[in-house]
Amino acid sequence: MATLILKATEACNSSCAYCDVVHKPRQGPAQMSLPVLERVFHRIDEFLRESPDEELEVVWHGGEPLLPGPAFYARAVELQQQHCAETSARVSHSVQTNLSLFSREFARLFRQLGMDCIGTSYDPIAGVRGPGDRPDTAAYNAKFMRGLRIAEEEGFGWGVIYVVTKLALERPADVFYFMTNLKLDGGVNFHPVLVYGPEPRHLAITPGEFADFLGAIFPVWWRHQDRYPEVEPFRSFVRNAREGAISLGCGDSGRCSHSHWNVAPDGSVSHCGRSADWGLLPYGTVFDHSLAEMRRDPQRQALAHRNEVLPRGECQGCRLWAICHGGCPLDAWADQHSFDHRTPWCQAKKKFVEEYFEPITGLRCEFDAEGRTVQPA
Amino acid sequence: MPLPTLVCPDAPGLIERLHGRTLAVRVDEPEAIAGAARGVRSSDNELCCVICDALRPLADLDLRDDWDGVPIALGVPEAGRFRDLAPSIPRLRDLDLRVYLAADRPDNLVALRLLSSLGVPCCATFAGGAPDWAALTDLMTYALLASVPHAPIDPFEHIADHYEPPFATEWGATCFADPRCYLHLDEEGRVALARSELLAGVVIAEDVADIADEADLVSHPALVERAVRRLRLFEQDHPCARCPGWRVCLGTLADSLDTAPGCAAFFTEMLDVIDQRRDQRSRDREPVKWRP
Repeated sequence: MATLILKATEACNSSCAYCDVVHKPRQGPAQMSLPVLERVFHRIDEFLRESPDEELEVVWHGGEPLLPGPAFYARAVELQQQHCAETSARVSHSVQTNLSLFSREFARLFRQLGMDCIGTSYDPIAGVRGPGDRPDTAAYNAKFMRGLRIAEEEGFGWGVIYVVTKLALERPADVFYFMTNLKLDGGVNFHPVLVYGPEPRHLAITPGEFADFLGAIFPVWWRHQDRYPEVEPFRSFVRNAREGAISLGCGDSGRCSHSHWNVAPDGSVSHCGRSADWGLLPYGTVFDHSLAEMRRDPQRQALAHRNEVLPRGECQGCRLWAICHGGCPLDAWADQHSFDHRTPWCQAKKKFVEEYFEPITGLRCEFDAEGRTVQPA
Repeated sequence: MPLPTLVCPDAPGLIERLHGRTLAVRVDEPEAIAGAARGVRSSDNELCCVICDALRPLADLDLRDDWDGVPIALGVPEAGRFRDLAPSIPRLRDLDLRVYLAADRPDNLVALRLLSSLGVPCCATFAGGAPDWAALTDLMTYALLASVPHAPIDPFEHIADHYEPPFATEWGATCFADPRCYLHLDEEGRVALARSELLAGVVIAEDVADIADEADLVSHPALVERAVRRLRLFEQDHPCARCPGWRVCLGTLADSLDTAPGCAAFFTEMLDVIDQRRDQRSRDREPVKWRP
């Protein structure tokens, strides 16, 4: 599905220790203006009219996407009704929010946009998330839990990302049980922290450490999958090994080259959030170009080209290629300033598969060129 | 959600004021059990059970003839001497009775197992101090896995029957401590969410008529506060929030955690025992025995 990441704002009411969005040098406005928002819905309608077989997911992102307030989303509802009267059935919406500002008014508006599920993230470890230079974790946690309670009372499902930092490496079991207790029916996704600059090095982890973190909790998950369903990336690894390559997420899909747009608050369009943060892959603005035009932008070939280069080079012979595709192109760029490399995080996947997943499950992660599983004779 | 059962004192004036409700009547003396049951049944309310916290050992109680046909929740401090209790076992089995014993006394854990093995339903309660968790684990394992016939021991049986992974299981109802199932009334008809709160004068309504329907209860701030209290354990990164046994405990013992350091291992073990029981039952086959 085509995915439009809509950065309603790049401001945030938290300053999570590992996040660089609030420190990013900004040229344009922090918050999207209503004319830009209107132009986005106009472009969405235009795209879907031109592409009758396409569906489009709008991912409300930030910064903290609830900062613009309910009035902004009320306007989004109006604009969708106004501009996408005939195409709105092919538009779906999702949001990635820290929930600290979530209210019943947001719940009503999100339902009007067709949302029934909310994406969020959390960390029980003090000092990682929260407002202020020294994150006020207690204040942040209280607001998060309040938002979470409202979301549950309003009948929203939710999924949560846990960003694995150095601080979590000392207590993987604690973190696993905490997150799976908080979200009993699953929807917990463990991601490594991505630290690009010199700070905050005290939170950075190596690919090997991430693999070991996953390896520490994987046996519990494997033994009790009915107790802890939908924990990622474990569920995807199992599905991949059993059913053939389905990939591990957008960054590893190898298919993002022509599926994503990221619209910044000023209306400028890049490939995804991180490419926008780093000034890469600028496709123009919603005022200058249609989504279809920006989808044909020749810069996207650099991403597609990666799929041709890597299997003949750094990823040649790798049995995980079909589910990994060298990892997220932006991670490769962060490491090598080129998309034509695999990412350092490939090592995490390989180590996890070889040292933990395969010995524990007895399943084999090996795929042929078409992504079918290859089990030993 | 049906309206909760009302746990109320055996106060005729109060019971006459109630209409069409299900009542669990609390009496102080075993001798008052039958009369309390008659009182409810002669009103236009339905009897759930009669609750009696007797002060004497079970073996010392007179299991009266007029208890026949009365559902009884009988709390006793201890079972008493088995040689005194033994003659009463057939009678205990015939009655519609459940024996409640506090889990913090080692002799009670033995008594619970004994009563269960003799066909008397019983329930361990956790209101007091910390139990011997290893002994309690043995009791729970017996209750859930022993293949010899025995009566249920709650809350283990209740948890095992109701636990549906991945969701958590509430078990306060086994001892009338789940406000979604039981509300507690005093003689004036004031309503509390728990007996302890009623005794402390913490009421949520001056009259049960103020809680006319399910919506009144579900949205009541005091009940919402209970849910918030649970989330607060996560907010505070409380040890309960990261306990592997959370799904069958839900922080029930959070307030007394310093006296219950073994609870995490106990509830974690219980989850595994429940899994084993389900596996055992799903296989559903008779063991193949040696034959000449």
